[in-house]
Amino acid sequence: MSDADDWSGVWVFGEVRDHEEASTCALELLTKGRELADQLGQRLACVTFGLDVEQYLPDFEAHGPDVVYYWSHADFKHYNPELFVPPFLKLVKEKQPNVVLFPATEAGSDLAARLAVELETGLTSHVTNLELVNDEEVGPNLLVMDKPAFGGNTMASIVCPHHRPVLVTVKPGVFSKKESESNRKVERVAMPYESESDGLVVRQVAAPQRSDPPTAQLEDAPVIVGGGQGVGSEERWAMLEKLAQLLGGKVGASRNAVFKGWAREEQLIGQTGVTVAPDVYLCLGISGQVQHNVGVLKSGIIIAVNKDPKALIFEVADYCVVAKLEEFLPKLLEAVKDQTRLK
Amino acid sequence: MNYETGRVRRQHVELATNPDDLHALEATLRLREQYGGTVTAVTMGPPQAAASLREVLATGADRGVLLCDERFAGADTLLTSRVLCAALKKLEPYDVVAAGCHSVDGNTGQVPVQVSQRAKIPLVKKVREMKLTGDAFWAKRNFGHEFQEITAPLPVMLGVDKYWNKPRIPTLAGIRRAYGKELSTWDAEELGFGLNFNCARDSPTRVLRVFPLRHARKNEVISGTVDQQVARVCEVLAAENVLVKRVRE
Repeated sequence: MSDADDWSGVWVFGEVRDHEEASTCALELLTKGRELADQLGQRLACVTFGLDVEQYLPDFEAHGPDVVYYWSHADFKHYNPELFVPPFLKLVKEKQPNVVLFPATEAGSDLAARLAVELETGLTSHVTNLELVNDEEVGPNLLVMDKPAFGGNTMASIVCPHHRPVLVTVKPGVFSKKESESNRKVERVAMPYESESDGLVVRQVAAPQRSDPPTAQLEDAPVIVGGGQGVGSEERWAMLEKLAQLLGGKVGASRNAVFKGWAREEQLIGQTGVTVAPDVYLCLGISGQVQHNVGVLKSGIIIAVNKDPKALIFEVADYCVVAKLEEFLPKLLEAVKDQTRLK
Repeated sequence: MNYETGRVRRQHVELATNPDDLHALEATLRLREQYGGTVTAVTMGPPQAAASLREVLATGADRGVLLCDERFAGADTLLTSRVLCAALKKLEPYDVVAAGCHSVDGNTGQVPVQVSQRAKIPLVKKVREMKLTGDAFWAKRNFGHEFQEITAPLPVMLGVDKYWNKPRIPTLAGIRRAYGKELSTWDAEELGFGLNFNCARDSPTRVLRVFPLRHARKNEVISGTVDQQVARVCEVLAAENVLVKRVRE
């Protein structure tokens, strides 16, 4: 293995979503990647695949890369590990990037994990912050990746000191996207490709049907009512849903509420769920484990209700209500019904 | 949690079988009911994990294998996949490997994917229907934004989540039978790793430090009777234009 210092460049997997658009998360990662690349004095590259992928390149290019490597072919219309991994791997081995960032989507996470095995390198997933620090032991410009640790209020800073490339996955909404202001000329590199689709191990025996994964549309909701274990029962969960409806908001959930079956997986808020940024986050019966809290820090205001005065959620709330939900929720629901009726 | 090393102090924590893995077990038990064969449960963990395996044997698995060695401690997902794949190699031939998609500890979801890549067996998730025919696998599954009908040669790996099935619970008879079933423990040597093998040292990633999440907010306490608290929350919502705006049409 060559020296870690020989590896240079920050790369971003430019995921094309549903063969319809350049994924927002990829644009967020390009924006953050530009910052990291500038600090490192290295180049930022976007690596993308798709059918007629040229149409998405302007979006990627507007967010700061120096170069875009792309494969344009019908084989890449839809993510397939058997088709995406080999060419990506080949390019990584040839160009030796320092860091590769992937959206923590189904495709991005799968691709990153498989590349990690092929390259026998470290993968850190669902990170909530990236920073370059000068470490006494390891050296300058060590990439530090923050993520929630095993519970409570604890975060961990992860490093990959010696193995390259450093692979990272990041959920949508963790970083912000911003179009680059510079008039940088982006180099486009069309990658040669000969179809491998005849040799696939997993074969489709019929034409696929479109079936979008369910979404709770939490990312853009201006009001979110989040529920946790403290809601206590399905009946009270129904009240929470009614409350959200009256407030014109969407319903989010903690892992416990999903576990109990009151909410679906796509409603999960937090590190491995959705990162939200509503104007108002009303949070009922959620204890506030760090994995949940990191997903709500961008909220305008946070109102938390919990019967336990020591609940961790109160540390990140603007308004702290210590109350039992069996008493508080029905009364809040009635009060809200009254208020909306007045107008 | 050991704040010095940033690693979980597993010996002091009550261990439980990962919930998704119980769904994976159920999937294999149903395959055995339909097609015959034997179900082997494999777990990598400290010695106490044997208790978890006994439970799995009581639920119906035919044999259990505990991958246990001091040198496995501190493994990240890459090293975990190396150890699991070494075990799979020893368990050849096999037709189906079932794994839970998500874990309640790290929850990276990476281990099944990395085992699939390393062992070179396709990973299939979100299956609605499936069949084994001779040495082939057929299924209807969700993949990205498509609903697909696929085939693949065996062996395959199933990435099982809680929406697949309802796991059975062990019966008294099953619990009694479990004590007669084989539960082997394999260490690093048994799996073919050299004396120099050390997961904590060889994991590419490590924890630099741990720290508490700091996020400053107003922390205004709303006290009083429940009615007073409700009234104040409504005031706050009105101030944020959440209540006033929502006019009933």
